[in-house]
Amino acid sequence: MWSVSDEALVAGLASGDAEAATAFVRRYQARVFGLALTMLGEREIAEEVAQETFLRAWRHAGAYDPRRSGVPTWLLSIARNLAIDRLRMKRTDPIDPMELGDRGAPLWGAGDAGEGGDELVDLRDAVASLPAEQRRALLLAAMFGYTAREIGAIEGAPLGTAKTRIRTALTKVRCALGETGS
Amino acid sequence: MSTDCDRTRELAPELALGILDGEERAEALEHLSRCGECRRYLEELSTTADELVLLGPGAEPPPGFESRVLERLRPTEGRWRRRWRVPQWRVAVVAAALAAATAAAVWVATGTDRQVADRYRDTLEVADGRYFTAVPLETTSGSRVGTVFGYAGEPSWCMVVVRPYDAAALRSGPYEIELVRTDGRRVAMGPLAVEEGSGSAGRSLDFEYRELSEVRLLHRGQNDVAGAVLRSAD
Repeated sequence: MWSVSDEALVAGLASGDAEAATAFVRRYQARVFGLALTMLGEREIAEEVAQETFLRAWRHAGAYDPRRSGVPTWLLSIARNLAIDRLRMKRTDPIDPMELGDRGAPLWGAGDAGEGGDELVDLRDAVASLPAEQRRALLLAAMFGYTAREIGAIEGAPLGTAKTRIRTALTKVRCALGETGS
Repeated sequence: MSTDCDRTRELAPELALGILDGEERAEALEHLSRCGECRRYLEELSTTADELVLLGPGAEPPPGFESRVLERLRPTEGRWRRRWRVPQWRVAVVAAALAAATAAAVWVATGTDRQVADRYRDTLEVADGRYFTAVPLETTSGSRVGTVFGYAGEPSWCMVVVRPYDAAALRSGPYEIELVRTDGRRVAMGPLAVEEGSGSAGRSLDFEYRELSEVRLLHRGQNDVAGAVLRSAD
């Protein structure tokens, strides 16, 4: 099963193949749980979201379209959207930048956070080459689901500045990936 | 390109990242429902925004995670096979009426459809494997305020009908319909005007019907006012 491609595993999922499901969970559980934990900060809730992610992937594997995105992106986007829904529900307490700093530590540097092969090199390069404040704004939004207003509060910047940093960062990354033909 | 387009493109990155709320989100969705160019721009940004999830660090899940997940997957196998049989003439009448209303990929706002809303509450098989779904539209407090219809066919479409139920009725005014896909992404479907508790709107889908998960109704300045789950996680 380990030499099977991502797409073949998802196809197996779509046809209700229990073996494919097992291989699929094994292949992605660390990344799914890792993203949920990064975004939510609590292991128990992160596991709930991670479980829910696989459940949804299992149910909607038939709708996966390889032309739209790779399998990891598809799966992790499900996880991210579920995590953001959770964050919206519980985000009534004030943001503690110190707590955020710990969770965010692996992402801030230009080093090798995350897993994956060569296809990630372009993305990491693109993000790493952003000016620091733009990179932070983009990752706060993408990795933690913070709104522009919340990012402004965390960074000590006006709302307009936060919005501009998010916008500039995302369009720069898009251009950088577009140039390399992704 | 108008100033509306400029404004929407300013908001597009936040929308693509899923962090835009309230008034700004309603504003952006309204423009997007009418502007194909801006929709394409948003789609491109969304593709980039989605890729950022790949940067997240992995983490070893708690022990037993794998078996807990696999245990949850098993009971659901037969769920999508469920079908309901109804008299063919009823189904044909409804399907024909609603299909005619949304024949082309055109935005249609119609009047009230009380009889249609009352009659159908389950998933119906129409013919040749096409599906017709009717789901209650409810506020967050659980009050019924309308019905959402979905049709899987060529083309697939979705229709939202708002009407008063018992004592509950939606306040008059402009609303925005938002579709939530199975991957969590949200798509603008267009405006819906409610007057004296009634109103409706429908449109064909430009994505696969099986990717449609929920329909939500938004009011300017607030987030979700009401919603309907067509395809739930349970």
